[in-house]
Amino acid sequence: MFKFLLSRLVQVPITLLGLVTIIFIILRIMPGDPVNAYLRDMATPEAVAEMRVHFGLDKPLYAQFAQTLVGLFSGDLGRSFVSGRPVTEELLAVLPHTLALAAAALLMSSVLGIIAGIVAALRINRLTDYLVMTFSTLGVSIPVFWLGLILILGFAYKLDLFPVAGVTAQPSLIGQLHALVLPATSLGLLFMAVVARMTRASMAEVLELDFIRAVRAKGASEGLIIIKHALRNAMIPIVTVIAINSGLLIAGAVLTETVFARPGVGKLLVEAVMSADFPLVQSIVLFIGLVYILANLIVDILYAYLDPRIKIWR
Amino acid sequence: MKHSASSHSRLTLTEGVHSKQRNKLLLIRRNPRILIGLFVILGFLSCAVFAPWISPYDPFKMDLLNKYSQPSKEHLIGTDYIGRDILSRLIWGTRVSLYTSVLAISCAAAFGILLGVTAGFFGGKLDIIISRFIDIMLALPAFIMAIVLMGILGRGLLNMIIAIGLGMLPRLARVVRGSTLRAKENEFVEAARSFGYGDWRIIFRHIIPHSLNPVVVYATLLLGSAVMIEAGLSFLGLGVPPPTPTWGQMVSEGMDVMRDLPWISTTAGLFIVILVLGFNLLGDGLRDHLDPRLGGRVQG
Repeated sequence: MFKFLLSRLVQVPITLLGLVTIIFIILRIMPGDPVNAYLRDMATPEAVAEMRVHFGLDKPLYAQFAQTLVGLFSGDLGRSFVSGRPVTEELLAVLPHTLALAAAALLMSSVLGIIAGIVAALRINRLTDYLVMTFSTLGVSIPVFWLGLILILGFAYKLDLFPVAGVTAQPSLIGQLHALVLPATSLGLLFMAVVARMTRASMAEVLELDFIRAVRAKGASEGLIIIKHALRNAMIPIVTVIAINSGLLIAGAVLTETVFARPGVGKLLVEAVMSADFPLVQSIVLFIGLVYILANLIVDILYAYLDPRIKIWR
Repeated sequence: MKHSASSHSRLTLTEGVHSKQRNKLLLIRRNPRILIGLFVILGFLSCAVFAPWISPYDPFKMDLLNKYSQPSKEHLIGTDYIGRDILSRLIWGTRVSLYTSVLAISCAAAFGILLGVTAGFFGGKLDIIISRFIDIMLALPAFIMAIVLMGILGRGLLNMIIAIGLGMLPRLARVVRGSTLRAKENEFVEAARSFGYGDWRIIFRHIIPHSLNPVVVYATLLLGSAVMIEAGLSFLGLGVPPPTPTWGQMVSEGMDVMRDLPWISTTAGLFIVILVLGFNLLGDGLRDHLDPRLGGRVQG
């Protein structure tokens, strides 16, 4: 198992290297010239040449590629075309907002999704189960941005319970958490539906197993059976589905941040794409890829923890 | 004697076909999601095809004296910021959603099948290279990939099909590779080989037909995702450029006047939800019907 983890750990930089290469190819070789794309009408030969030198784009492609690789490890990913500030600085400035949003959405949707899934599994093929499954099918079909707008319409405009937008306007922690409720809900619903569905399927399967009957015969309370025995054994597919779909959270954050006018990595990406700010696009995409790769690594470690048959430190 | 034997065999043959059809009908009745999903999709398909005849107004015709009008008998969902009829634009918007999602997924499926089958069937170094490539491509959510590609390629229908298709390709290729590995173990593959058939004949005549079920299920579910990505791109202003009506763009246009004229964004979003729901219901139904092993694994 230790060997397995080690091999997975080695794969992380390989996958990352591949990702850097592909992004580099997509951004640099496919479209033509990033400087021309950025300058558009103002792309006089002098302006283009000056900007190339300024951003180190006059060097040959392989040198630029090497520079990107080195930069990736030293944390220096170049400067933004638009602001001229280091890309890392721009990214770190908005990262806490996105982390807060994603963490809130992940926590809320995992907890509620697992509870909904357990309830459905315990009442399988009955009304409660039917309602949870209907909700789940509906949940995966609602676009994040539209849900956000509907929540704003209902809870901010009509009921006036939550602020419409903006974490920046909220000075206190409570105020910021309050402003986080609607965005986190709209980002989390789709995820919750996915988790609920997987939990239901996995729990229903485990609850049919013999060892549950054995535990029940031992006289364990129903709550203990569900939490300690059934849920723990049902957790592996649930954790997998959470990790596989963590991409949905990242992708959803782009739309959520736009709808709620929150600063964040997603909004920064859209702005960077719109203004053809290629160093910024490149580093945000790399960052998102890294997060996703790490999420999957964490899952591999969690597997070992959840399944007692897999021993890590052997 | 000879005659009666052949008619007898024909009889059992037709009986077989009949009972198969009855089984299929039974399954659909027992699994109403397939029927509801098909119904929804066919509804939207007729909207897209017959848009010029069923939409009450020209979706591009501006009427600046009559902008932001309330829902009325003349304009059932009112008019937008330059006085265009919203219902007509919603009906025409079906075209972009269906067109991009179906074409993007078809292209992704074609290339995904080719890549996945090659990796799964031939194995070895080829498999390692293709699988690595798939892993790397999977490290980016399809939506993020689509945003970046649209930024580079520029707005447009064809570019959107490429951007969405490229994001879906590795997801389909992975599923195909898995089912190819299973199909390869069948005895008929060995039998075909013993006849001296070549690799590609075996692949096209035996492997692909036998590994198609999970692909069909997954592709149907991805059609829903593709509609969502298209709507998201259009919402962000990275989709098909105006004045072509798209649902995502209409949600975005209604955002500014959400407080006073909430029906603009609401109805446009409802159209997206119902179409995605249609694809998801069909996909879920097909999965239970064709491939129960896929379990609850949704989207990418």
